[in-house]
Amino acid sequence: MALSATLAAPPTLTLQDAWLRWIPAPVPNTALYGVLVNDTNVDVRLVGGTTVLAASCMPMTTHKEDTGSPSGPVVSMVPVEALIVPAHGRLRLEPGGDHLMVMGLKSPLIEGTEAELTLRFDGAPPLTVNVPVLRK
Amino acid sequence: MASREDPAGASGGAPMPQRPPGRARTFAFARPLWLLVGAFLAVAAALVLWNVLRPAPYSYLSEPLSNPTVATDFTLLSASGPVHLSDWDGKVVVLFFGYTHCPDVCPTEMMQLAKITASLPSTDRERVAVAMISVDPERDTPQVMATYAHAFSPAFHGLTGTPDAIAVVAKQYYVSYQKTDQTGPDAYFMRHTASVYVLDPNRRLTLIYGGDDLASHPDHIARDLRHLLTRSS
Repeated sequence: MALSATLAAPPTLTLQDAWLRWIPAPVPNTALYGVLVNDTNVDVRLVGGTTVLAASCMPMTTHKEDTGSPSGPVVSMVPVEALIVPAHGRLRLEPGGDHLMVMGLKSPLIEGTEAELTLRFDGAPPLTVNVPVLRK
Repeated sequence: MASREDPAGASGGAPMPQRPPGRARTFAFARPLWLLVGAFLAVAAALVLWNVLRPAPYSYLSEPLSNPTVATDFTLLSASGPVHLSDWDGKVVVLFFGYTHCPDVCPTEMMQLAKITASLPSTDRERVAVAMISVDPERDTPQVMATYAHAFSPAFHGLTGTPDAIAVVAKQYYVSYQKTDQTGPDAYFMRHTASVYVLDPNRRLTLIYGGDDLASHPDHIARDLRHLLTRSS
């Protein structure tokens, strides 16, 4: 039964182990983390998202640049047009790496609650997820 | 164990007066020699024991800076007034330069610093001052910095200042920062050095950690902080 259901299900794009980082008000920005798993035959591009919680969502990547300074690397978060989830592959959104920035929070986040976000892609339909707001 | 030259007879043997003069000379020569051998063996044994039992030299996660100098004092602003670096003399000071609009790296590092300090015994924790210094003084007011820092730990300090004051402090730690991707007067990111600086209780800059170290080696860093405290007391 389970097997036939699996076989019958269309190839999907899912977000696993997702969480939204709790951040103290009035800080306006936070990030969504998790693993996007692409079971389809085509590359999918994460291009943004929407949520009632914030003004906008933007795919970003964190660059570390070794400038040779004794003080260590310089980091910058860089907005990108899209983050790619390869066909039959995955994209890790994780602290210090690629992430979906959630910009312009409209009200304070409450740790332990759930947040609804809709991710937008090129190559796949929008994906609505409910993720926990975690302080970690 | 007795060797052929063993002067056992000499040490215990016949009564002294009956001995020929030659024997007496041998006896006089042998005793200092054996004392010498005994002393040598005792010293060797002590050295071996010392090497086995002495504590290994402490190994920090990051190589301590050679010839650390006393950090220049600074005055920055907290929500409750001016703060001087020298206010924390006698404590281990942990400095991090970041900004509150930072959606990823800064909260990640602050969260790790909170975990690391929470893992310390309370007597040590009270002797560790953690301060985040804003590289975005235009948006980070003293109140915003306080709210931000306290959200990670009530004991953390959030500091800001005039752009000039921040620039002077940042330069002392070779911290670089600049605005990026500016889309409006209030909409931009900062590109910045995200290392963590540790001053010993004598205010000497001793350790620098990369941001990734906080997540990958939190226990080692906690040990380092404790070692800097015990080293000075």
